[in-house]
Amino acid sequence: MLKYIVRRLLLIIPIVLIVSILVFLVIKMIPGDPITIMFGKNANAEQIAYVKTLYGLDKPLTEQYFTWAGNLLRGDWGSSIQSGEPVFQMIMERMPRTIALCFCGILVALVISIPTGVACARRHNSMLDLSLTIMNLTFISIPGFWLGMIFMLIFSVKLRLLPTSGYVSAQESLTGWMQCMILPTITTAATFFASLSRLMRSSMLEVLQQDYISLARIKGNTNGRVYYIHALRNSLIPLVTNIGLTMGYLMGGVVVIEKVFAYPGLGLLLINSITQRDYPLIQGILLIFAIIIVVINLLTDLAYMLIDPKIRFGYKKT
Amino acid sequence: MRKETLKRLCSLILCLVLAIGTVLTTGCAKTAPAENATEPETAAEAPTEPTDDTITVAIDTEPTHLALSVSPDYITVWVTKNINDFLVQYDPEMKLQFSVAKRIDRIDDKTYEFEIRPGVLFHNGREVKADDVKFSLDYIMDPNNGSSTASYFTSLDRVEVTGDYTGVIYLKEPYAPFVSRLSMVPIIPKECADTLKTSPVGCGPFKFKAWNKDQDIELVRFDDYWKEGYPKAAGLTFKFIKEYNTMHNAFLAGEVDILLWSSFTDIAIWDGTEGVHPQATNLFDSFILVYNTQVEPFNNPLVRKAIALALNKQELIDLTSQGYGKVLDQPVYPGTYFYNDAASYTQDIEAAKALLAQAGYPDGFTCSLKVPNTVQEGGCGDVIQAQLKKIGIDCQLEKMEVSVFIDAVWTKKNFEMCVTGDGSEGEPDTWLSRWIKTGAGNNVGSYSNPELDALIAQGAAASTDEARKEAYDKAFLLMRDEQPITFLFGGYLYSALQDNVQGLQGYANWWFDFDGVYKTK
Repeated sequence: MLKYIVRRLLLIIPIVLIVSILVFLVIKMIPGDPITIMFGKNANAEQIAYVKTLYGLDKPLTEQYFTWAGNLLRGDWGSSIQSGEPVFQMIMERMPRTIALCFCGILVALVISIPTGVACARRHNSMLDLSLTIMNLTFISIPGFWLGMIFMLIFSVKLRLLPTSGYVSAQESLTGWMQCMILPTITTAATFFASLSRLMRSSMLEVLQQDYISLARIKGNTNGRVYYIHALRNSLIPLVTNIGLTMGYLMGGVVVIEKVFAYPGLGLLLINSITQRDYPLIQGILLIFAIIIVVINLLTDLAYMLIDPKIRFGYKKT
Repeated sequence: MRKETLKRLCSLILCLVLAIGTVLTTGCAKTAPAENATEPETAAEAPTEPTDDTITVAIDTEPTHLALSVSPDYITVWVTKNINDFLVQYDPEMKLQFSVAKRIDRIDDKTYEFEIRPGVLFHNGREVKADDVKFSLDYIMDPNNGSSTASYFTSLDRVEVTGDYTGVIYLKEPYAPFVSRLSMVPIIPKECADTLKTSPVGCGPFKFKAWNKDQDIELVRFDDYWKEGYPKAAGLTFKFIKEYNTMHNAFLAGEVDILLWSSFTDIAIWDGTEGVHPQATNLFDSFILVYNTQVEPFNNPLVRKAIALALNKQELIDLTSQGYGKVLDQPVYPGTYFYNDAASYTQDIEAAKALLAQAGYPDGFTCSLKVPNTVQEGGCGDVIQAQLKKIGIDCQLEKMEVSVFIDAVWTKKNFEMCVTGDGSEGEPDTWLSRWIKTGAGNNVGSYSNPELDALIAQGAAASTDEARKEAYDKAFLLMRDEQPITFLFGGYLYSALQDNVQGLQGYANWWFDFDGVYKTK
């Protein structure tokens, strides 16, 4: 297992390398440049040329890439062209907020999707199953940003229970932090709890057809024990796979949700940096996103082993 | 039985959806737009003493830095003007008034003597001296500081300090609008110049407190501000909400006291919503049609004049700005001192067709029109495209993201016609020396006319208003026939305020004063 983990960790290197090249090329292909944006209509040719030289933007693309990659290997992520702040520091300030949002979103989604999925499977084709299926399909069909706006209109504008936007750190005020987190978390969870619930339902139904479930029933186990002890664990494997895959979509999703709720995380920073064509910042954030997704996929694979002994023992044999 | 239950369930869901829809739509009920945005009827008298209230202002963009000396873009100005003070400032009628300066005397065409008020303090407790005025001007002129304000001070030669509170400013050449340009120079303390961009220190009504990146900037009242009784509020918080709809909702939810920039499409909503009101600020800005005068057929003044005559500017205002705007045909507004009635013109399709024929294009031609993809400028593109069809000009419209547009027009000069906009403080030289003069920074159409350049120089150098007007009258007449750029229309800046918030003062150059803002009980 350790060998497997090391092998997977080593795989991160070529993946990050390929991602960094792609990110670099894609960014450079976007029309417009940061210096023109920085000076806007007040730009003059001398100022533009001076700042371009300052940031090495006048050099050939390959040279720019190798300079950036070389600095990165030495731990220098560069500085933001617009604000002059170190990119790594800017990312690290915001990353915990984005991770907290994703984590809370997944947690809420799992808390809703697992019981609803199990309930649908238990009462297959019942009114409950039908109602929850309709609810799930409704949420699958609604875009996250729209849902966020609707939640905002109901809970903030109409009922004035929660803030529309912004962020308060937990150290400053735990209650304030929780209030700020509720709407973005629910919106994040709502964008994918429905698909997880559907998956949980079908997975559970499949597992319930297995012989060992019949055996468990014959042995006199209660329904609750059969569902939650014998069936649930095996039904979770596709769910775990899906969570791993969903993380990629989730990272994209939080970008939109952070913008809607003015939540100062990596997503909002990414949008701002793209608007301002802040190359070092865009590159840094996308690289971090790529690393996060690769690590999550690794953790997903490791989670399989914990859930399913067959997989764990299979690796031991090799 | 099951079908019956399913029907009931579906009805229930439908009712729920309709109920939510009703709740939401009644919250945003529209009424007919008001002709003029006004103060609420229950305006209370301003408090004579400072209050304990903090005013929260929402804007959709965060400044990249807080050094007003470096860039006077409107976002930086909105936040940092509160921290800074100036030798002179405009009053609501856009007339210059002394602020930190006690007097500024014109010794001759190239020499000004100034005296500052004694007892004006910086936020660090040190008294403002004439040396700080010199440092503030030198800071702007230092190329290492990359200040875009420097372009307004090309006539400045040097500043000499003659006493604690007095100094002399020498110009390289006579420049009549020089004193008005001093309204753009914040007075900064030398010892705090290094932290200007992140934690500025000034001598304005509010002190910088904190900048929470991607969230807000907090300012607090400067108790030792020289202007007695100001500022009224205990603090100002600028909240940055990039998504306009969220900003709109935050205002409706009462989390924000002032929505500094509101879309004109929301004016009807503010008018029809209890507890809030819109406020309009007249702007001296203009949307303009710019021609690349280096390419055919726009190198021909007859073609440019034909296009100007073909445009129905009121229709442009009606279709792009819901009727909120003022028709413009020269760089200054009708009714202001330098406006030349003789240089105004109106739509005349027949005359436009005749000019096109005279220019050798009786059947018109095909060309490109680049516009940024904003509501108003983008909308102008659609309307201009339709209007020019009437004289046979087929415009291929290209709507572009703002930064791509700036890159194409400003950096690459890759355009034939484009729509853009700019503002001024009502001083004719601001437009003329930035957009029309040969080689000017914003003369993206590369227009050059020595006769016009001479008139611009004459207007800028003349020592009396009468002599200046004489030069500008001639310049505007020449511009009417040459159309180096075509002025389309000017507009208003709309803000929205909670009804208990009073005293916000907007200016025609996009600046705002918050020192008089207070909340009624």
